[in-house]
Amino acid sequence: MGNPDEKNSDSREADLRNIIDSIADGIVIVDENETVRYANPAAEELLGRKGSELTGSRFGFAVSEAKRSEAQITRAGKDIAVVETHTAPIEWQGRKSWLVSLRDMTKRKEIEKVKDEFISSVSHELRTPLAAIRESVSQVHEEALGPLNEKQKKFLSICLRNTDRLARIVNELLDIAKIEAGKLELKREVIDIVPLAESVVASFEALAGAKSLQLKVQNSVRNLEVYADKDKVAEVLNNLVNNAMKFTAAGSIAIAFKDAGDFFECSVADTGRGIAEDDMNQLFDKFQQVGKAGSSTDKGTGLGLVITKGIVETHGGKIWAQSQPGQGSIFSFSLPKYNQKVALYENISYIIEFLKKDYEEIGLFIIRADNDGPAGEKKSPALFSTMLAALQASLSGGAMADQGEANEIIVLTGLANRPPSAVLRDLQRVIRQTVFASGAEAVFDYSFGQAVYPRDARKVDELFKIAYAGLRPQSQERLLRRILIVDDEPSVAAVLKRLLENLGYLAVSVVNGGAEALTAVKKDRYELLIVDLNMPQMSGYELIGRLKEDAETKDTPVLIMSGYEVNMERLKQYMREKAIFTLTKPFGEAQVRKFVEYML
Amino acid sequence: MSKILVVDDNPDIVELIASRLELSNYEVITAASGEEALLKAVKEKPDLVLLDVTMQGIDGFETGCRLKADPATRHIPIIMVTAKGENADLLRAVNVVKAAGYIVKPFQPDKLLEKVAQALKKT
Repeated sequence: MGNPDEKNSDSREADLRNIIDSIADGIVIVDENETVRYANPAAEELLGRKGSELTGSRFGFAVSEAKRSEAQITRAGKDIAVVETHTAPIEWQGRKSWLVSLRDMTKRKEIEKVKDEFISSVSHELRTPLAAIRESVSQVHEEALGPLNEKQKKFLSICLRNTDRLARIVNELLDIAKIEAGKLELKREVIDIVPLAESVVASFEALAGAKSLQLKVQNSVRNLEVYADKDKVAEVLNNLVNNAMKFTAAGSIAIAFKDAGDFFECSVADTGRGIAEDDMNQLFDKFQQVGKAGSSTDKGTGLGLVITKGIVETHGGKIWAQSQPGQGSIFSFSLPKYNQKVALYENISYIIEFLKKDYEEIGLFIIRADNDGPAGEKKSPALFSTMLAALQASLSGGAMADQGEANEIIVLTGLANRPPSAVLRDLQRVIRQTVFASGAEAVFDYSFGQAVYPRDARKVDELFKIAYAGLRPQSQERLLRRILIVDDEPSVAAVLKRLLENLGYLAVSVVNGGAEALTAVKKDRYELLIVDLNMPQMSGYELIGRLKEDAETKDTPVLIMSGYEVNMERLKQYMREKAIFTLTKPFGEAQVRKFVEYML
Repeated sequence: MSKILVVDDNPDIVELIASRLELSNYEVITAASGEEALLKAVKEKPDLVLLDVTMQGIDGFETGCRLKADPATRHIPIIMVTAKGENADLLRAVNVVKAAGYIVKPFQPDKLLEKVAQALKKT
């Protein structure tokens, strides 16, 4: 390659750097090893570190093909910034790299927060006086406090009717504000949609009769389950039927349902005056009332269809209209049918919202029962449900355990500054205790996965993705744990070692006396000690006592191995532990497996 | 006759709820703050507490948690009254305060009476 080309490429790179340095967003170039190769001034500012510090250091955020994500960074000695990142693969100085652009979202997040708080406090400020008005008028109106004359009663009826209308308008405005902020909350449950729709339609029968309109429900399907907010879906149906009634002078209104695969579809068809083509585009816009409605008392806020659309879309459905002037209109909407995963994720996102008020970080743990144990056992469903109950009972306050897929238990808990691994150990202990208590034959092989909100991700589906990707079979983890056999009789120790190794344990060591054991545990970390009680020099009793005295080793589980009955009194002198397990010599494989699996 | 403690820092709401409950033959005592509610709950031993969420000083959640933490008042069912009706608040009422139920303002009188009767029946 000749000189001119190199020069050309040098100047191109200089041009490129000039451009990158002038961009207002932070730009960081990260190589395949997640090491920072370049950072522009905006990135230095955003991350609170100098370019010279950044270059060559680890980037610190997971870099992946995911185009957009959000991260929180604590800036050197400063505040916390919320950063939106975009990642794109590029080639940088001849190497495959990532271009990560960082945008400071802190201000925008603050504004959003203020807006949310505003909506929430306005909703409180408006509803409280309305509640007071409604309740005081209604107590007088009911004549609970004394008789009224006709006129007084009539006027109070007017007051009540208008209070209700005002309350409805306030609710609609709040709904609009929530829809626009993407904060419309749904209280979802499994609902059978057809009876719900029928009951809404029934409430219009009197009015239809008065207007001599035919009101029909054509349902070809039954038992359509949707996972939706019952009140809000009723509101959607109510709005659509109400609109149809308003704009139809004669003829009929027909409501039809359809099973459309993953969706349920509903349409409301009228024989009204229809909608002009020009107006079709604005149908779902704010404050638009297309055409003239009836009297001023049933004039709406013009928000009905906007809210209807918002509700349907928040549910993950669609809404659309077909109409021709003079030919009537058909308004249709779809709602997704009940889906267990969607339901679970949504539930979990509510729980996260709720835990967020008390905890900075929330751990999501997945415990998945693996179908085949090492000996080919199938998991018993009874054991699984006992496990779920035990986990639920062990979690206090800001935590919950729930069943996800048939073979999964989901645990959500506020971390309260504990590392996830500590919570995990607690959960593992509960699982071990449950298995142990359920009988000698029980084997529960499971995989464990975890993700932390908001450190790993903020969205529930992403948290699950991370937790699933990290699922590790615990049986494998367990087989890696270090076991120390302490026995003065080499032949017994060798038999036990071989037995454990046959069970798959990979790190089994042997020492022949108490003193050696103490040296060994000081040097290496062991996760289980199997101790023979009857040893010359230092007895097992003394060894256990010494282990329990030392802060470093007091939590290491000990399994006692003895040919004689264990002298509990003597042991208690050394130990404060309540539960001590004894492996009685001679021992069989099943016995060894049960104890070791429990204790590890 | 069941005795109900109505807690709200809005005196209008307190009076109206009290009147409504009295019309249904409940005995009503009132408190204008969380602090007052804690004292009255111990002294008056009500059968039920109607507790507003948004109050000056210690709010309804805190008051509810303290009532449930005190052996003297732990057994008294609580109904939370909220004007916001946000999911997180409702979850909090049920899971943290262990409330027997909640009511979202503005409430219909028969809904209020129904929840009160339900909560009293359970105990």
